[in-house]
Amino acid sequence: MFSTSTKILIIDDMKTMRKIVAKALKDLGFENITESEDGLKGWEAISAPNADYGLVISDWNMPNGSGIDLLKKVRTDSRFAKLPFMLVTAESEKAQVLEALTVGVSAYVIKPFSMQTLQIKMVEAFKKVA
Amino acid sequence: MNIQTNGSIMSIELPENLDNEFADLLQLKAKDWLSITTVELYAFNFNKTTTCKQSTYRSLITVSQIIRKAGRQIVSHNLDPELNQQFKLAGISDALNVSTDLDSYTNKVNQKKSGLDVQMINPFLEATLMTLEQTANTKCEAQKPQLIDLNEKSRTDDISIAGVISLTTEQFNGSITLAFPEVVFLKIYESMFGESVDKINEEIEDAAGELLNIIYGSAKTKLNEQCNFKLAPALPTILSGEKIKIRQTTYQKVIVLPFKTAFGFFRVEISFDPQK
Repeated sequence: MFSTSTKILIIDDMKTMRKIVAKALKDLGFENITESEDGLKGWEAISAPNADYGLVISDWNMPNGSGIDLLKKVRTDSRFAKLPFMLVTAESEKAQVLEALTVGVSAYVIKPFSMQTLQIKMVEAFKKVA
Repeated sequence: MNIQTNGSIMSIELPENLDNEFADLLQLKAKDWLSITTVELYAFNFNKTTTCKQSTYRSLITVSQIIRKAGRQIVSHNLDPELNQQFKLAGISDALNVSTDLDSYTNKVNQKKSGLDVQMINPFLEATLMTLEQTANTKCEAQKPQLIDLNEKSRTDDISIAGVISLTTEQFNGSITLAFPEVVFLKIYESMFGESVDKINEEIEDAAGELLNIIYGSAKTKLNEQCNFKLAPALPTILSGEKIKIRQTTYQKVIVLPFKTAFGFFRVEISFDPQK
């Protein structure tokens, strides 16, 4: 199970969205939060030495590497195959959700979301890798 | 030839004598008329017409075919009894869709437009209410939707920040705008993050863009699933300044969805030109 000391990476090209997710996480008691602004920088953060993220929360549509492309990269790298990875996105069409599940998303959150929804989905993400 | 366009209906009043010269002109004009994508019904008014040369029939049928091929409708009305009989005997009444009931055609066209209006309103209404509540911690009440007259030139606005997304589908072209007065959005921002800000800055603009992004994403899913519009993901453009005047001059219809919050009013505008 996760603890509030879990290191979390938020990836979204919109600063506001990073801020919204960070605030929601802080309200849930998480403090160890870092941010990246696109898929490329997200990968750099995840694969950096001693990065040791316990959870990634990523948007789908981003310049310089989408969330789904990042997820594919993460899941094909044996170092991160089991890393809890959530997609938080406005893309809620069935085809997109199916693609994400096929690639191996841990949980899928559709915007707009409440704090309760985020919390439930985080539990779901951690349970999947436990 | 007297031509009047009212929404999606173009009325073409034909002259007293239809001769070859006129028929050639009509064929040329028809192609121009089709470029007005908002027109769905072409109503040929034979009210003044007393004579129609047989040599014009081919051109008249061609015009009808051009219009129908473009997915639009044609109706011919107000024929005097003699002309009506003449067309019947020549076998061109069906091609020109001669009718004594113009109203049933115009009503059908108008009803179809209303259908598109209602289809558009509800997903954006629901998405806005949900997004403001869940993402911005702001409860709002939807007010009565309004259909704006494009001829209304003197719209004054107290809008200081607006996000716009273009919409392109097979059924329509349009845009969606989320617009706030400064004081209202600053309070909404404060409600989102617990930070008091006294002026619009880049972060505030970003927040407006993200709210529109979420509203659009949510509405898009419903519209694509329920109406098969095939709306694509899109990035918002943010405008900010003093008293931004939003005038949707290029679209036939503008639906305004006003919302009331504890801080004041804001609105969502949906503008579109139906293609079919």
